[in-house]
Amino acid sequence: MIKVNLLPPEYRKVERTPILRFVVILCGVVLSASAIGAFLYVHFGVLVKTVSDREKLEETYLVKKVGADRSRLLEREAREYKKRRATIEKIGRTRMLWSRKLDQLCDVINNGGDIKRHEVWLSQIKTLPPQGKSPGGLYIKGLSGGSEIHRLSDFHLDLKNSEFFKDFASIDNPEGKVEHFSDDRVPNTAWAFDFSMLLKPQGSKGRAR
Amino acid sequence: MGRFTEKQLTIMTIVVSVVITGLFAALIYKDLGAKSEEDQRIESLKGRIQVCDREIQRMPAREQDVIVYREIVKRDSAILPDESEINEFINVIGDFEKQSRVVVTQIQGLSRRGRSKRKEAIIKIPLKLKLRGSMDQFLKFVNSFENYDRFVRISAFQITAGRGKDEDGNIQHEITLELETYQYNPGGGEVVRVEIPNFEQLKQDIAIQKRIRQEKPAHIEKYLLKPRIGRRDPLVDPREPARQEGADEANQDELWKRQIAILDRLSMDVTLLRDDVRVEEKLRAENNFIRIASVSTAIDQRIAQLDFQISKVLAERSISIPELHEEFIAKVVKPYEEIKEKRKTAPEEILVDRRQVFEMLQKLKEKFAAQDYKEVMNYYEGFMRLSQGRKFAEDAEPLRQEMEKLAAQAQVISKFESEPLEIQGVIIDEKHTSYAIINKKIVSEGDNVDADGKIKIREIRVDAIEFIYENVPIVKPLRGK
Repeated sequence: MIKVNLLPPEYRKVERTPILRFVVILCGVVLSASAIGAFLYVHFGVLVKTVSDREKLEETYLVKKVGADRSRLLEREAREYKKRRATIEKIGRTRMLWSRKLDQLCDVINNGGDIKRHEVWLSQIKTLPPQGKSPGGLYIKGLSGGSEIHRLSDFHLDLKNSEFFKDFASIDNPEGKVEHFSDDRVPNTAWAFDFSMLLKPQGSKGRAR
Repeated sequence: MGRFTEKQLTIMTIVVSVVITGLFAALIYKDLGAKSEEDQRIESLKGRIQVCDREIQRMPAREQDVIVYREIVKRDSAILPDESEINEFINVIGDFEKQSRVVVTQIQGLSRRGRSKRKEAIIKIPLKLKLRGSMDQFLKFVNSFENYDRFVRISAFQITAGRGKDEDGNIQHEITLELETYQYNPGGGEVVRVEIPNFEQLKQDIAIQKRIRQEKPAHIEKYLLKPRIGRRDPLVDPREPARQEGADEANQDELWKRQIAILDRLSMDVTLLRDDVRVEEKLRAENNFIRIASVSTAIDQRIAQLDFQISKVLAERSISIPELHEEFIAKVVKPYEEIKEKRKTAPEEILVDRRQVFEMLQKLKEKFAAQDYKEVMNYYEGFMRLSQGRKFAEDAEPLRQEMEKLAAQAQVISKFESEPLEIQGVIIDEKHTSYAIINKKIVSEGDNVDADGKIKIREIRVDAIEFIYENVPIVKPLRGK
């Protein structure tokens, strides 16, 4: 059916937006506006603040890192110096005073000039390289004048009981071979011997230097 | 609107709204994601900042450690030679060679150090020497290195008995010697030296100085090699030639007599020395400083003579007959060594106490009052010689100063008395100036007697004239008064 409205326009009933459409539009606008608002808040409010906070912290970190790096370098330097100190101490501590040892050895051999107990002379003295825990030692080779074996063992005993031996851990047992001399000196026989003596390990009890 | 129906418009509206909402929701979601990442970064940064804070908190302690250890290492490394000292080491070897009288025939190793790693802070420098010398000479040579102010270690040696002799008759043995020393290179190692502001000032801080002092400095242990009188070289055959029978009987008798004479003489000398030392001990107990000085001098002379004589006998084997040699060792060498040792270890009074100084001061005053000025000076000099190296007790110090003053006065007066001064007469005028005739010159109070102005007249009295000589007032009584 065709409807014709004969009323002049000013008297016609106004055509309102349908309620459903209006509600939908309203909801749509509210939703959209909320979404936009939320986005603006999150983007320009929260995120920007967070980024700004992060940037401030980064600046703070960069500044503090300089100090922390310096502190670490100081620690490294202190450690290096401590290591050097320990090295220097070790160098000083591990030295054997060979002039003292040899002086003491000469005293034992000389025995105050008394040749009755033993009359020993050497053909060689040399140091021995480190062996196991021992930092080294001394080797002596020589002759004990006279045919009596007890004179060699007296010398061996004097050596072991002397101040000289305090730094040593071990010495070979007294043994030797008789040698005869064709010169005109007395005695014309002697016991040839050689003794190896090993030093006590560093830091062991009774180890004087 | 004509084209779309109500339904279509509604749907379009919904769709547009949903699209817009969805778009912004997606953007919000994305931003929240970014925020979450930022939050994580912030947490990570906070963690790192905390670590940095902890490191920074430790910085003052570490700075202190570095200052302390730099100073300690600088102090301790003084025992190691630096580069210039290593370069000069060849001269050091030369000096030791001269002092010990060994003969160095080869040196290896000094030039090789250039090839060593220079990056290390402590560089080992090994050296090998070949030399000739007697055992005593070698001991002195080695001892020189071990007593050197810079660290040198004897790492190995080999001595082989020789036969050749030097110009003094000492048998020369063949010796190889391996040494090592260490060069300290402060700039070496992997350390980066951190700049510490006000380092020099901080170094002087009490806490830092205390820490440095608490760490014991590295030191080089040394050994005092004492000369051993007549000790034989252990690498020399000590056997004596066999005695010839028969025709040598007369020679043997002669030898015996000669050696007995030497033994008796030296025994007597040692006995006399022992007696002198007993006297010295007694005088020391009595604090008789004047006599101690003369007795000690005599003992020192006797010891020097005996030293020489005993060394000569042992070196030349002047007493070679075994029985006599034993007696020589028992009656001469051993007692002599004991006497020397006892004298060395005699307890020294460290403090000169007030009583001793008071007694001496009283003696000085007596001598001064008796005008025996030379004796005053002798007593004082003897006392000061004996007190040399000793400390005076605190309450003795004023008395010592008084003694010093008295001795100085005595010295001046003694000097004054040697000045040519002849007093011919005095003219006393109680109201006006008095005069004196000295050295045929008329002088009055305040005048100088001599041309140099050393002697000035202070006062002219009836019985005496008071002079001022080197700021000391001296009263010269007039003869017959």
